[in-house]
Amino acid sequence: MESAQVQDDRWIPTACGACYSVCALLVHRVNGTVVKIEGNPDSATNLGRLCPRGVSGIMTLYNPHRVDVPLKRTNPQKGLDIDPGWVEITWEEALEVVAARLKKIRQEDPRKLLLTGTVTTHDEVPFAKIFAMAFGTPNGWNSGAGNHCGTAEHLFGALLHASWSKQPDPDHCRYLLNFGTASGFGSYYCVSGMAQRIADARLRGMKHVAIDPFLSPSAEKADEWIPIRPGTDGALALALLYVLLHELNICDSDYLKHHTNGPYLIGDDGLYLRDAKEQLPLVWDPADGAAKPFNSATVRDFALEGEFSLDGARARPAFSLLKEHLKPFTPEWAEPITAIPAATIRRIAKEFGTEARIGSTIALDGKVLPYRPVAVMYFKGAQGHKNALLTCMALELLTEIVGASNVPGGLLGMNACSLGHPDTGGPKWIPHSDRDGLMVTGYWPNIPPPYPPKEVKEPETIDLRSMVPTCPGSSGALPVVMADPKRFKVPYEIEMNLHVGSNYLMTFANPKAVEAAFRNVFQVSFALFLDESTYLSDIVLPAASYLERLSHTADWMSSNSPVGEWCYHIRQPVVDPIAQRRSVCEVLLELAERMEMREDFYAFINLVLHLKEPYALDGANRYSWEEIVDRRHKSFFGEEHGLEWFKEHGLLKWPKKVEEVYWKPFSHARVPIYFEWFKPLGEKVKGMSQKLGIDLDTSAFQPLPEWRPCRSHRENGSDYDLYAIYYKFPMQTFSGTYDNPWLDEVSQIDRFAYRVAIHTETARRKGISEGDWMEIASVSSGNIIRGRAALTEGIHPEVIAIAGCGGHWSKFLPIANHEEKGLCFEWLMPVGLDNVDIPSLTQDQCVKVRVVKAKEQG
Amino acid sequence: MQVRVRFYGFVQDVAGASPHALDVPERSTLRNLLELLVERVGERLRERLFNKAGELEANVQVFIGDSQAGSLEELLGDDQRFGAEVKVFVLTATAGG
Amino acid sequence: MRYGMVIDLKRCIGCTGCSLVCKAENATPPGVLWLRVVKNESGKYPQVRRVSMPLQCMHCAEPPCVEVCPTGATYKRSNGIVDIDADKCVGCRYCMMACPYDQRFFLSEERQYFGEGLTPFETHGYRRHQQGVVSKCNFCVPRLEQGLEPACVANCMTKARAFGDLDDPHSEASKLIRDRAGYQLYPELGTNPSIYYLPP
Repeated sequence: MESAQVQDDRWIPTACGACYSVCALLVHRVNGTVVKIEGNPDSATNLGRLCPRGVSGIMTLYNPHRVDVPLKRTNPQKGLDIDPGWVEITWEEALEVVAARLKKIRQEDPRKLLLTGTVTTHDEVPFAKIFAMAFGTPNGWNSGAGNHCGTAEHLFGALLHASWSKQPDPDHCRYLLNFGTASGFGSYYCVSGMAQRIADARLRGMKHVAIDPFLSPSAEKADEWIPIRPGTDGALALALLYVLLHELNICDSDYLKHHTNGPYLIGDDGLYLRDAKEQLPLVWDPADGAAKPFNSATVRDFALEGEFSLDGARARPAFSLLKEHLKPFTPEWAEPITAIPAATIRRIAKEFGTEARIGSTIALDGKVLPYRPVAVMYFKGAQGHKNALLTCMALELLTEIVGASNVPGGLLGMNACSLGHPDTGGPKWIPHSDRDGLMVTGYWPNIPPPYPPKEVKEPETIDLRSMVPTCPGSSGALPVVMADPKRFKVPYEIEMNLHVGSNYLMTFANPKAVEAAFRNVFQVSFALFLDESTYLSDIVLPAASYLERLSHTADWMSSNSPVGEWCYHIRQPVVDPIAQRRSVCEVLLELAERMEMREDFYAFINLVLHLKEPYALDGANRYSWEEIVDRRHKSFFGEEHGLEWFKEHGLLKWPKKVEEVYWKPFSHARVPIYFEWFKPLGEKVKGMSQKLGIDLDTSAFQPLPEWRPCRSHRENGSDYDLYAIYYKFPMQTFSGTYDNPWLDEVSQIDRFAYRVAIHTETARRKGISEGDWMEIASVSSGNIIRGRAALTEGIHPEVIAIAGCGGHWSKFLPIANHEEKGLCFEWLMPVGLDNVDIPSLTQDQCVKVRVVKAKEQG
Repeated sequence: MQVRVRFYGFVQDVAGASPHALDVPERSTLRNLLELLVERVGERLRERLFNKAGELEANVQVFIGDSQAGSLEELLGDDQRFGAEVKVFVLTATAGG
Repeated sequence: MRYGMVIDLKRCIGCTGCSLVCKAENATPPGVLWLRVVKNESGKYPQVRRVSMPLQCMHCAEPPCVEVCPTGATYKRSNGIVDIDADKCVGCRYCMMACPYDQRFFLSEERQYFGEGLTPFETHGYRRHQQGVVSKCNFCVPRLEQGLEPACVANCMTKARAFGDLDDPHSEASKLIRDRAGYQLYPELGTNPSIYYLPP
């Protein structure tokens, strides 16, 4: 074997872009070819290791099905399986057409532009958001509104944890009550880093109890798997709360008194009682027998229970209302709903409550902090229901009642508090409080954060969010409003979709319904592949993948590890963009030039990226992308840590402080255990909706939790006897990796990756054997999908489980497009407001199906 | 005194992209200025900028010259800022799933 | 000196990262998967266990493949690694029949991942793979020569793998086997594998 002459042999530090974990890489390039991707051992985030998608990025870089040149459609007919008739055009023609369209729309009405983005990139899409901001449109939509992400969960992340999402404390947690998440098991945030940290915790003796309808990749590793009927996690949480408060008398009074609105006095109207002078919420001081403002220096103690009289009006602490409210939610009540025996519920409550070790402390870095080593994790699955707001409330209260919130051992906001680099103090964000003493998050990826809530306004946006300020991010109602803006009194229609990498047609819900909403919109796509969503595009622009581009930011709030060190990674190109691929950010800058929008764009870049002098962009000059990236890094990390420094060193890290990781004990900000402002907000939303003649069900805007069945729990036609759920597995990321042949190779070997898990006895009853083709019909969407059966004992008998987002039909994805390669769960999900939790605009992901052995086998 | 005001972002559909030039009394505050603009442009501008309590919405940032205004009661005409352009930015939460 | 590997099934989450980093490191063609992960399910609902088990060449101390190889292409190195000299292999595949772990792979013809020509990565990497010969895990000999651990060990997200000298009772590998009751696969066959598993 001859060895080739080696002229160039380098390991280049950069950051992965296969998902939002943004692990640090060292990529080996030999003579211009990428030959290996490894984790950067210096990174405090992923600790030198990578997930299967990360190591397989080479096959995405070199995949010949990548979009390599700009394309224009020639077929005027659009549809999800209608060939667009792509022809190649030059970049010049493409940019001219796109700039002209954008300019025209901006002049007519900038609101007619929609930005759709993927959640997996934290440079391109956020930068495109800035572009859209400068453009003047309020309309944006991430794939996250769909089947794959949390919505209500993020709202509660903001309200309770000052963060987009949370992690269990991997260093100190002793009891992980895991409602179906995959943190540490190949998905969720900080994938590689948490896999190691949670493995350490497992070996350390942390007990993992998995509440999951399926023995998922995560539940497989649990000490105990408790199967649950889908969509009933809220009921289980309520019953656990009942046992804690009414049978075991376990709660962290100290925490509730000082760090929550538990002691705030509530009147009979359900609202805070306020002092006449300052209008501050009142508490009852039992030491003095008097009501005082919550932040009064004279308060000696806080009453959590009791009934008091204030000027003749009844006043009760919020905690007492919660406790009273929980009375009906006994384990016996929960058992038929959840299919979990009451005895099990009691046992788990006892284990959890005992292990919370209320009253105990731990010394870290010389500081004595509360030690509450229990964490309640939940995400997409548990919260993806019509009753999302109420379910999340119940699940979060488990953490709050035992004081395990943002303290050692407990549930940690990821990442709630940043004091900044020791030299520059940037980036900095710290949870603070509003006038009522309630916590306001220090940082939020959207503007503004959900609390304090924006006022309910007449529809300004195409997604109901201006009417429903408690939607924390992307709205599950967007396609409904977009399909019929007049019905929702939106005074314009979307005419153009600036589409950055999101396969929304596949990943939201019923593709047919989504297609109908988007079919008549001029769509310009930045795409890696001609996926299903590009079937609706008018122009497709070849996007540079993460190995081919420079990013102004790789990391974001939730990519850093919750513990250890802050670590900011550079993403720099390892190879020049292949063929005619271009960096999305560079193209946006060029479009801004052609549209004469530079000044506005730069002004917003300065604002959103916090570019301080002397690094702010001057609209009189034109900057290259490299210069902007350089300025952004210097602005945060100082003159010596610009782009050149980062290109060489790959990352900048510094230790996290105890008060950053476990911020709660250091903060005066209180979090709600009684969601006082939900009800009046709901009334305003109702009022507005009635004024506009839209019928919105706002009944779930409640201050305290309850459990309400989803549509699927009520759809009990005799044929439709099973629940279909979807779950993530480590071999694929959403829908975007199915054309990667390496990931395909290992997915084919795995029993479940491309098939449908079904209980052995359920299958036998239906005459279905291992490998048989099944037809799965959704009662609510009316669609039917096919998949092969994988029989298992590890699933609730009423459930079938579909992994990932396969079932591709784009003919431009020859590896992914194969009937044996997974199913697209979204066909089973209907689109409609009935399917949306109105207070959070979360989509219901719970479906009832009829499963039969297919007549055609193969 | 003469004041120039420019609007950026999700407000140009209401207030336009071109700068507004106004004559305002010497002791005018930012609030006075914005009220004048609402009179000129229409109540839709109030909807876009203010909440019911009459304060700026959280997604609205106002700059007098290069420095961000801390409150609506700030005087436009103080020494350092005399003649400075007022910039009103309306940011938007355009996505995030 | 006998190189061996310890795979902690309590740490392992069955993600297949090892399977793919092996493919990336060694540029193995389609169908040649020197490392794979299988899942074993046992029990009845709801007391069910599903355990992920990575499999690769066991680098047996008593390798049946070496015994049957007619050309001596398959041989055992002095450090215990069972390796294949591709130049000597005639592709008879007797070794594949002899291996009780089924971890040897035969490359019959050139295979491409996309069927549209070799990618630059494949052009670079497939030079290492001859057609008509058998290949398998070799504990990443080229990496060992550079003082690095095998790729699967270095990349495992959960740090489920340890690698070291089984003849040294103080090595991390030996200690793990001792402290955590490490076991071999099919010990009754007498192959004496150099890969040990720690119980889940």
